[in-house]
Amino acid sequence: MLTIERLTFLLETYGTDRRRWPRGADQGLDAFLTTHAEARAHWTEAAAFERVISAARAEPHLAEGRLTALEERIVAAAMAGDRGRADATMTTGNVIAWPGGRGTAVAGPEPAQVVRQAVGASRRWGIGGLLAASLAIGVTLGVYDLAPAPQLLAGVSEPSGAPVAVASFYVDPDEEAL
Amino acid sequence: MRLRLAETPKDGPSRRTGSSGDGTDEADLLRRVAGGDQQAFRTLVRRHLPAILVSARRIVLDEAEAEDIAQEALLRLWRGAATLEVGQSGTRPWLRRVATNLAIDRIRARRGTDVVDEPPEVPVAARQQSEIEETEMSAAVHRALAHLPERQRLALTLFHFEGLSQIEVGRALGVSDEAVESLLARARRTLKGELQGQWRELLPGAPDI
Repeated sequence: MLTIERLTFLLETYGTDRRRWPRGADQGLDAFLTTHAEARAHWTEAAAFERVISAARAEPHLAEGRLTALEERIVAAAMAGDRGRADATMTTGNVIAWPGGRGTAVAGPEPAQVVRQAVGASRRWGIGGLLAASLAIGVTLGVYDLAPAPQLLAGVSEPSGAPVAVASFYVDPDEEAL
Repeated sequence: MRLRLAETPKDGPSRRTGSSGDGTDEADLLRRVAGGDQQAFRTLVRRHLPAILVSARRIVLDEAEAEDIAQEALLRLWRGAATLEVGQSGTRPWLRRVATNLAIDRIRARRGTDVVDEPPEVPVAARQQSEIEETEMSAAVHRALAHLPERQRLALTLFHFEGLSQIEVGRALGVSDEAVESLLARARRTLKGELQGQWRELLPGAPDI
């Protein structure tokens, strides 16, 4: 049941957008506002405050020249870059996104779906990397067994003289964080 | 600690294009981008750059860092266009989520260093008086936001401006639901005090200035 104290708490915490309140917290709100002048005053004040802080939502008034320069920089970087790592970079940072929780209307692609794709792709890369590494180890050992060439392997040998198979893995930091 | 962010529903139109693009249009552009179409990529950059810049800047409070983040987010779009599926809202929710995540990663990386406590100076283009007033109010809010303790600022920014739910904010910041409530309430109370000169003018019966 709503009280002035409860309403004040809800407004201070979540604001006047009741869709963002905890589930069921706005039950009886309309009647409460109708019958309590103090509640209405709190509401009006909270709404005015929100209009002010919403000003910070405005997109930046960057000088057109600066925005254009940044746009050029981005396009140039894209053209110069390598698209081969596309799958490995399709996560959203060191994070997993998940479908919107309470009060969040998720629009567009389901974040989890996008991430699942990315994780799947990264796993495929991971499997490919392991296969490639296995092949490299096999070839290295095979070469060593068939035609030892200590002078060529000296740089990658253990102190004991045993050869060290050097395999290079690309570890996707995004996947690592999962 | 991992960050977990959801898409935001609060996407407004781009000032430069007047549209954030519908899903069909964006899906077509994305297909072309996947095929290496530079012009299609440029269209998406022009359309979404301002919005993701402002998202990043609100979090990192640094213009140069925000630009780097926007660039990285758009480059991820370029590299991954072939595997990204867009819905009705187009690519912007995904881009903003990427930018927000990258921005919070940077905040994490700079922990232990001084936090910028003033909003960046932003060059402004010539514009109408109403826009100037709007920008002045926006600058006042940004200043007040920048003076909040970091966790309060991030909680309020993610919840109010980026549209994350309370649960998502908690996961992003690594704190409990209750802690998010507390952070939000304290942030709003502090801001309300600092900005009372502005919001009281909007109350019914307030004298016109």
